[in-house]
Amino acid sequence: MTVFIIRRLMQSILVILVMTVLVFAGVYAIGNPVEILISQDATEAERAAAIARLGLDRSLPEQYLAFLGNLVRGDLGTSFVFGEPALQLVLQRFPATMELAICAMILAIFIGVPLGLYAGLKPESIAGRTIMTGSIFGFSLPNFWQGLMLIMLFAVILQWLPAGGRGERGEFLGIESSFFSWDGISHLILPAINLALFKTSLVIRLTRASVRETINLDYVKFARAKGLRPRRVIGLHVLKNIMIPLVTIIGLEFGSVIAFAVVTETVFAWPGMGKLIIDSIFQLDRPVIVAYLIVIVCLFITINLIVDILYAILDPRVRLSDQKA
Amino acid sequence: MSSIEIDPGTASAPDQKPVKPVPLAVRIARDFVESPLAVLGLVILLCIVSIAILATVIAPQNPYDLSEIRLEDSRQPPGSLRMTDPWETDLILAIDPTAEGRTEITFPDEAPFDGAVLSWTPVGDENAVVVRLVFDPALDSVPLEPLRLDELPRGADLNVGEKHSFRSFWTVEPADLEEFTISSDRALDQPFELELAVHGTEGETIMTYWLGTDGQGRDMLSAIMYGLRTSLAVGVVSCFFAMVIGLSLGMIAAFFGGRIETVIMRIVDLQLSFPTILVALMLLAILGSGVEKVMLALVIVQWAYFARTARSVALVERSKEYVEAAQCLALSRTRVIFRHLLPNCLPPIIVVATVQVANAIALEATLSFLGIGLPVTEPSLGLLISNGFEYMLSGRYWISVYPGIALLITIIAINLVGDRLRDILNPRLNR
Repeated sequence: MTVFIIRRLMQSILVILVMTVLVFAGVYAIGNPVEILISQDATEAERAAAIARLGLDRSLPEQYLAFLGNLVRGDLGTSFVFGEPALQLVLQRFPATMELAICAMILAIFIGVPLGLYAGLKPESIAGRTIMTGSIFGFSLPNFWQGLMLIMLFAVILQWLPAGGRGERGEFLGIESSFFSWDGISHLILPAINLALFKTSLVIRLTRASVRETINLDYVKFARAKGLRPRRVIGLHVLKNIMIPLVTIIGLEFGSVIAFAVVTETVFAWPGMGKLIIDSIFQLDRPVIVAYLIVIVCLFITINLIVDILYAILDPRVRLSDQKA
Repeated sequence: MSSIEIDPGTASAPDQKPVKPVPLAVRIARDFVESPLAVLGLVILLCIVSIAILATVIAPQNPYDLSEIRLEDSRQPPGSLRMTDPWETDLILAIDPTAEGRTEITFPDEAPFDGAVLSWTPVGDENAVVVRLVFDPALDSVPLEPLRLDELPRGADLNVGEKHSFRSFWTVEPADLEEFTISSDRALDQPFELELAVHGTEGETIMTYWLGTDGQGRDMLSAIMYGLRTSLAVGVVSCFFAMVIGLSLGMIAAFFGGRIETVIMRIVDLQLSFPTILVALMLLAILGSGVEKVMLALVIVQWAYFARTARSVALVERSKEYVEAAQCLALSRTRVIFRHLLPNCLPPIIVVATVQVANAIALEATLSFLGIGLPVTEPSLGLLISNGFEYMLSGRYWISVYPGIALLITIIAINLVGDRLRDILNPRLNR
C-alpha cells in the first residue's frame, strides 16, 4: 500500500511539473512575457527595471527554474488590477468556490441516488422513464443555459430567490460560510442547483445501471428468498454494493464540478475563483491567470490522487494490478 | 466487409437460395428508420443545417447590416411589427368666403385616402362661412393623430374643436370636419387658405419580428439563423480537424505500438483526466480569444476522444485476417493503414464524431457566453444568449431564451441521431 501511494505521489508530482512547463511555455514562450507580467502603464525605466527583476533577459531554462523557485515560495506576481499578490487573491476566492461545489455535490447525491434507485427498480414505469428522459436533458442542455432558465423562473418570474451574488455569511464555530445565514443559503440555492444538475443526471444514470446489474445477482435473489422485506433488501444489500462505483465517480467528478463552477459563477455572479479567472481574462490581469491555472492544476491532481488512493483502499484488486504493471 | 454476417437461419437451410448480402449503407439506413425518435432527430437536424446554410437567403433581414437595423425598434417583444414611417400630409384648404364654392382634393397613391371634397357656403352677412370637408373613405377609418387646423384668418373663430392655449392652431375631431362654421368679428371678404395637418399614427407593416428584437433593434429570428450558421460551422470544422488528428494518431499508436503508443496514449490519458471546459479555458486564457483560437482550442480538447476510440478499434481490427492478407501481399504500410484498416475503423469514429459535434457546439456556446469565445463581429448562439442575459432580469426574456432554444434543439437533434447511430454501429449490440 505504501509503495502504491508513493508511486502515485511521484506520478502526480511529475504531472504537476509537466503542467507547469506547459503553463510556463504558454505564458513565457508563446506570449510576450514583458507584456504579460508588466502593466501596460509602466514607464520605460520601470519596464527595464522589471525585466531585470523578473529575469526576463535570461535564457528560457534559467527563467523556468526561476519560475519554479518563485512558485515554491508562493510568489506568482502581483495582480495589476487589485495590487495584491496573485496567489493570495486566488486562494481568497477558494472558499466560495468550495462552498458551491460541496453544496452541488451533496445535492447531486441526495437527489440523484434515490431517483436512480427508483428508475433502476422500476425501469418500465412511467416515473422511471420520466426520470431517465429528464437525465438526458440534464446531460445535453448546456450548463449556462440551465442557469439562465433557473434565474428566469425563480428570480424573475416567481421572485422567490435572488438572481446573483453571495449574500451575507454567517459564522459558526469560527468558520464563516453562507451555510450559516438564511440570506447566504437563499443566494446559494440557485447556483448550487445549477451546478448540480449535470452531476445529478450522471449519478441517476450510474445508480440506475448499477441497480439493474445488481438486482439480478444471486445474493439479492437469496435475500429475497429468505423473506427479507424489500426495503431491507434494497436499503442494505443493493445500496451497499452500488456504493463502491458511485463513491469513485463522485470523487472524480468533484474536480470537474470545480471546473464547471467557472460557468455557474459567471451566470450567478458568485464571487469564487471561476468568476475571478473570467474577470482576469477580460482585464488581462495575467499574474492572476497564471496563479489560477497553477492552483486549479494542483487541486485537480490532488483530487485525482486522493480518489485513486481511496479506491485502492476500497478495492484491493486495483493496487495489485498496479503493482504488477 | 468483414462485419457482414449472414443470418444463421438462412445459412443453415441449403434448399434456399443464398441471401444476397445487403450493402452496409442500406442496412444502416434500414436500422436507422426503425426508431421514430431518431428519424425525427434527423429531420430536425436536416432542417437546422439547411437553415444554417441558407441563412443569408431566407433570413428576414441581415442582422449585421447596420443600414437594415433601426435603433427605435430595439427590445421589441416577439410578434411586434416593423412599420414604415407613418403617412402624413398638410392639406391646404383654399376658401373664398365671398361665394359658394367646391373643390376636389386629390392625394398621392401611397396615401390612405382616395380623395376629398371641400365645399363651403357663406352665411348671409354674418361674417361666417360653413365649410364641409368629406373624405373618401371616411376620415375615422384611418388611425390618426389629433387633427390640427391652422392659418385661420385673423380674428376668426371655429364652432368646433379647441384652440391651443397660446399657439394659433385648432385641434378638431374627424367628425367635426364634415361641417363646421368659421365666424369672425371682422369682415370675411378675402380668400384665405387653411392648413389641415393630417398625421397617421402608424405606417404600413414591412415585416414582423416573430421572435422580437435585441438591444440594437436586430430581428432575433435573423440573428438566430446567422448564429446557428456560425455555431454549426465552428463545431463541424473543429470536429473535423480533431477527427483527422485523433484518427491518425490513434491508428499510428495501434499499428506501431511500443514507445510511440505509450507517449500518445499517456498524453490522451492526461488530457482526458481534465474536464474539457477547463482545458479550453486554460488554452484561451493563454492564447486570447478569436475565431481561429477557439477552433484551435476545440480541436485540442477533442482530438483525444477520437484518438482513444481509433486506437481501441484499430487494435481489434489489426489482428483480423484481412490485414494480415494485405500485409502478405507486400502492400506498403501506409496503404494497409489507410486503405484497409481505416475504412473498417470508421463506424465507431462516426458515432464519436456526431456526439463530439454536439459537444463542440455546446462548448463553443459556453465559451462565447463566458465572453472568451467568438468575437462580437461573428456572434454565435452562445454570444446571442450572453447579450440577452443583461435584459433578462428586466423581463425581456426573448433576447436570451430563443437563441437558447435554437441551441437546445440543435444539440438534442444531434444527440438523438448520434444515439441511434451508436446502437446500430456498435458491434457489441449488433444482432
